[in-house]
Amino acid sequence: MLKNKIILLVVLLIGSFPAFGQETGKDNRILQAKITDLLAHMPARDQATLVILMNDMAALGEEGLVELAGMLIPAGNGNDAGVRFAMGSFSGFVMGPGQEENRLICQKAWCKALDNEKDNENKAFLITQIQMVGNDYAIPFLEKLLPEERFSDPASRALASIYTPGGGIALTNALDKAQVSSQVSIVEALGNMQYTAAAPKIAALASSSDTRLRKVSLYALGRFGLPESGSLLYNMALQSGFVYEPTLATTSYLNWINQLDDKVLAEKKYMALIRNAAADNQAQTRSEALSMLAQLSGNKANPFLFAALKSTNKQYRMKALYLAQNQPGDKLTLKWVKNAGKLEDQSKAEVIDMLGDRGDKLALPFIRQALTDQNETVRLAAISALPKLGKESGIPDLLVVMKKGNPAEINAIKTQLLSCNSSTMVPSIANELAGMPAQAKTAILQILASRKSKENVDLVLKESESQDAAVSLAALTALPDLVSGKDLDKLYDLLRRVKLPEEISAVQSSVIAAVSGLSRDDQAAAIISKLNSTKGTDRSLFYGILAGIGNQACLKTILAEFTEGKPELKSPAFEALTKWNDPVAIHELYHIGSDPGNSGYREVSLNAVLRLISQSDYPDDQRLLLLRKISGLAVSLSEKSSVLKEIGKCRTYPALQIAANNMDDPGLQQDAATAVSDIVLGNSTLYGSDVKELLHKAITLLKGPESEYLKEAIRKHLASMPDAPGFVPLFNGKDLTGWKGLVENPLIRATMKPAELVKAQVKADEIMRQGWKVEDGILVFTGNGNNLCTVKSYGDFEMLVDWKITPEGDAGIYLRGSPQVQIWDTSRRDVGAQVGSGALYNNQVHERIPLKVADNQVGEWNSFRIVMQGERVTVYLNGVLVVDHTIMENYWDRSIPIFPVEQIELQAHGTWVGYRDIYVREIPRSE
Amino acid sequence: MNRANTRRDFIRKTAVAAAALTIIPRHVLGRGFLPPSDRLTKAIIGVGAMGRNHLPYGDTELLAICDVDKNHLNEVLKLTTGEVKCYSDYREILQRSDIDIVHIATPPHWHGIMATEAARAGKDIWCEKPMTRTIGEGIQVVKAVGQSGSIFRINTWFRFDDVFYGFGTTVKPIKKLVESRLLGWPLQVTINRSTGFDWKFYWTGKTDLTPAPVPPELDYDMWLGPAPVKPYNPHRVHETFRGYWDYDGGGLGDMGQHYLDPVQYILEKDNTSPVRIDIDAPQQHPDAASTWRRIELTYADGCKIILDGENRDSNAAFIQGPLGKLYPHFRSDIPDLENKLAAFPDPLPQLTSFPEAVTSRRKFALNEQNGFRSCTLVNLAIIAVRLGRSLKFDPERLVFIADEGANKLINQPMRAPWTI
Repeated sequence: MLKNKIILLVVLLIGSFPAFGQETGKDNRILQAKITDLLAHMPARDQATLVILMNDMAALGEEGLVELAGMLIPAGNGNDAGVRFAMGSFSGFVMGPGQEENRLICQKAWCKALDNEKDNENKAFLITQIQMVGNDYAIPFLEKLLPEERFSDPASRALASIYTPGGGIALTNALDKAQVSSQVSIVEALGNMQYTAAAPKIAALASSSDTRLRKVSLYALGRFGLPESGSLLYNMALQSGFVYEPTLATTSYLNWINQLDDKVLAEKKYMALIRNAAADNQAQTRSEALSMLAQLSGNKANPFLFAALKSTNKQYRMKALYLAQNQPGDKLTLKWVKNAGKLEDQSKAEVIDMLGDRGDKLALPFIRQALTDQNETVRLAAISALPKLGKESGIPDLLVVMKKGNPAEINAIKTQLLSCNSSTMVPSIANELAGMPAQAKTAILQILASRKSKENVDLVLKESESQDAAVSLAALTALPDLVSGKDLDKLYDLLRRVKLPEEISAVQSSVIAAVSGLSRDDQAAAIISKLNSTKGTDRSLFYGILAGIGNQACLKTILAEFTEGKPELKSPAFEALTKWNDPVAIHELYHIGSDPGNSGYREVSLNAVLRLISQSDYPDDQRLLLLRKISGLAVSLSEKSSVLKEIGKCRTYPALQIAANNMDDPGLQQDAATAVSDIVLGNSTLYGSDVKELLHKAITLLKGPESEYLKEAIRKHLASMPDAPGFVPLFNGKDLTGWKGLVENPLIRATMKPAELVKAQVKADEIMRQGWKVEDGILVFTGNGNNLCTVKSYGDFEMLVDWKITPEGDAGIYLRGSPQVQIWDTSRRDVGAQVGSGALYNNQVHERIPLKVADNQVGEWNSFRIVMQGERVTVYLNGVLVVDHTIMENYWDRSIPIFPVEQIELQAHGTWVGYRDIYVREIPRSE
Repeated sequence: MNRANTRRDFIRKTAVAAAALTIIPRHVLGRGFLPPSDRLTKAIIGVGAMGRNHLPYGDTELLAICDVDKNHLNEVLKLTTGEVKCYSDYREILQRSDIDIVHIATPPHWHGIMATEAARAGKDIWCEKPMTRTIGEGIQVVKAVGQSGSIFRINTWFRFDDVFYGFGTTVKPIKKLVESRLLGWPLQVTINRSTGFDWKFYWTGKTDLTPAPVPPELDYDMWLGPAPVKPYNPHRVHETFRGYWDYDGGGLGDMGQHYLDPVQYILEKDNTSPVRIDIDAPQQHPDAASTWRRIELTYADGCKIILDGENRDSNAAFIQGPLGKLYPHFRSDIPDLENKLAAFPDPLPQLTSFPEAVTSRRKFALNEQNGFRSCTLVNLAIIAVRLGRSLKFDPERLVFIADEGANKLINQPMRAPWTI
């Protein structure tokens, strides 16, 4: 009671100073509002917006920025992400070009905020921001934090980054009173800054019992490069044995030498170290010193490089050679050459490698000589070095070596010749081909093939007759890259002559290459003609060629061989079919593989169709249709898994449903969950509560070490998924729920009285049940009756529907109660059906013909994707665009546009038609 | 690492045993003969999710594993055969004279330190990508490895091996085509889903982490190493560190070097860097990495690399030049390309067997020098995205032009006592 009175009194008192209280209060509210508004826009979507927001931040002024920084919340107490976005970005912004004034304000603000801030982690955050934007102004603010254990590290790093002498002074002053762990941070910062004035103090700390402090002290002294630190650093390195150890004494010593201003002294120190670190386990240190000496003094390092050649330590030797490579001068090259002559094989080979990389032609005579060295390693080194020096002139030498070479040498020469940039290479090797021994011949044949050296085809044909089996096979294998139409007759002869499967295959490939200059139809005609004039089992020689050409004519031919040919030809014919390189073979492969009488063919057929589907460039819709068709071939779990994986690559809603149906099968769960995820994440038009549920389910199912990444991706996708409803099934696969019969047309229905309409609907539904049935999950029109209509009406929408007709069939999809997206048998030329299905058949003014013929064969399933927005319709048939944003005219009254909202209908046109997987997604209209 | 590549990689690396891998000159021994006493040895530092993939790499003998999480050590020890010692401090491993190669599979913020120290200890190095978290550390690694003569490689390989992701062929014919100049010069490369490369954007950090107690098996201070102290939260470590700038660089850190290293090689840019970086990205948080939409890297000669994260240029060629274009699966608008290209020489051979590089002491195909340059592509992009602005860069001096903020991100002081 009393408390309330006191509060009231206080409030009245404050209220009685309206001018003062209101003024700052008002400013504060405006500032708060500005800040709140600013934060609400973060994170900015793009660069341009960011710049605007950053300028807004600058406009807050120092006071505003302090206020903003004061809004940091201790971690775990709430979400201050916006504040951090703002501060982090602003720090970066003011460090860009032309922002000096803003930098000043920013720095002042962050420093003030640092003083105000109570929470340790937030202080640390502020220090990181000051690290970015600070200069001398910030030093006192950071300096006072140096002794505190939590802040000596961030403050030291900030001072080092600010990088002014004032910072160095502050750090040095803080050293004396600081705890050891703080000293560690401070000393490292001083080292980073190369603040040499701190050297005496740091030298005193270099003998600390704390290894961290020792390490950073040596590090700092190394960075300073002061002559007076030399003996301390050297002794520490010596004590460490000139090897790696956690205080990095040797590294610091080497850095020290590197930092010395007196380069003559540095040279002396390097040389001394190389001499003193002579033990085998000190080769590392020697290498580094040698390297730094070479970089510093160039040729002065040479005596050491030469001495290194005699080292038993390969690492050290190679280091020296690598350095030698870049030491300039003719004299040096010659000296190396002279030296190399005296070396052991291994070392000689290493020097040759180096001379090759060095690239000085003066070494050529020596290298050429080395080509015929008695040691193989040396010869091999010479082979790879020669082309680097000789360019063209290397080729004759290499060919000489090739003639006498062993496999390793021949292979090395082949590699060199392949990357040889000279126009004389191919003529040179062609010239030598006949005189080469077998293995060299093989290599040359491979090079000729690689270069597609057609002008040498006759040489290669000759080698195909070689007595040496490896050579003749190499020649045959090379032929596909060399032959052209004129060689066909010779190839046919060869085809009959060769015996082994790999030889036959090579000649078949050659024939395919030889006819490739003709049109595909002519190719097929030529081969089929040859086939027909061949008798007996020799006919099978042409099957592989048919598979390679792969068109409809070839397919027809191979099928005839399979079904009508001699029994012994059946198997080769089928094998060729499985190697077909055109998706046209898919249906036949399926047909053969699914025949119960051909159980031996099932598995191979499945693999072949999956390969063809996967390699085809069919749209997703079409691939899914094919996969659904052939899925019956998959029997084992691994086969089903393969099919499921391919389905996962079809990013469509029906594919999603199929994948989802497999998520309850323990053997296929992983594949199904992965497929579901891939489909949804790959198609941003898939959303809705059912899609969300599927993703959640997938998350629970996914297992394995890499699944975390995918799960994280799914969660992110869910978070950004629109809330709108997605696709809804119109057909439940069981009965006609959701459908009703047809009553007249939209115009007439609009004039009917409600009671009339109800009565007519009852009659229409009766007729509907006569004409439309559900068989095996498919919605079927038996041929007698009227259109099937959705119970609901639709405005703008996307519709998916699969359909299938029988020969002479005719049907259609009515949109907004009006005809129609056409469905018909394209063989009915008498009615103009050859243009294909999918177009707005009843249009008179606007397009009524499909852009392409995309129908599958009559009797096969097809997929429509129909999008209707306003008056315009887009249709994809089996993934192919056939109608593009075309206006659909109003058939019932051509003087008015198509009705804005009406039912969807499946047309009954007197013939059998089947439908499945009917989905619709309503598209809201923007007002 | 791409999920599909893990197994293929495993199989490929174990098959490397074909060539004799010893200190004795390889041609003295017959093919396939590998005296056990001369087999190369290795240790793996960091045996989390990536590190355990390194177990079979190089067909070398594993002697030691190291991790700051005892659970990792216990789990991975079970996967090993033979005598494998467990460590918590990598420096003890570096001091062992019987270990030839160290594999560095820690998060990126440790790579630079471990690589330079391993080099100073005379070890050869197989380092995870990205090579280093900052450009400054990269410069030090190049120096240290160069001075010591260590053989160094990064754990990416597409410039010389494997089908190059969704492009559908290996890099070799692409390199050959570019060298032939049939496409002309300069060239523009577009890296997006349509050209065969998915950018993974789920590596985002959280902006609302609450401090949590450090689990007993984890030495968090050592895990942090040179990174600033921040309160522990499980999302900062192990499988999700990628989302934090202190340790890595989001999706760029993940796939960046895999995609960009071969492109750098193809464009003949192994010895230089872009002069300009442009970006389209949302504003970034100072701690948590997020997504980006587009990054363009332009070289002085006009060559350009476009990282099109949104697949905006869905019809773009993979490589586009004044004389022709190259699409995935080697399709081109140049007629009869295959025949035209055959007449040109192959690219120069590379040393692509790491054990062979180690025993012969010759630089591996992907080493600290070209690896530094491709890692720099990643780091340049990260800096531009973090600052949210275009940047100009000097590839010789390795500094940004007229942008102090960007230069502050090149050398970032390390937490003591860690130095580089």
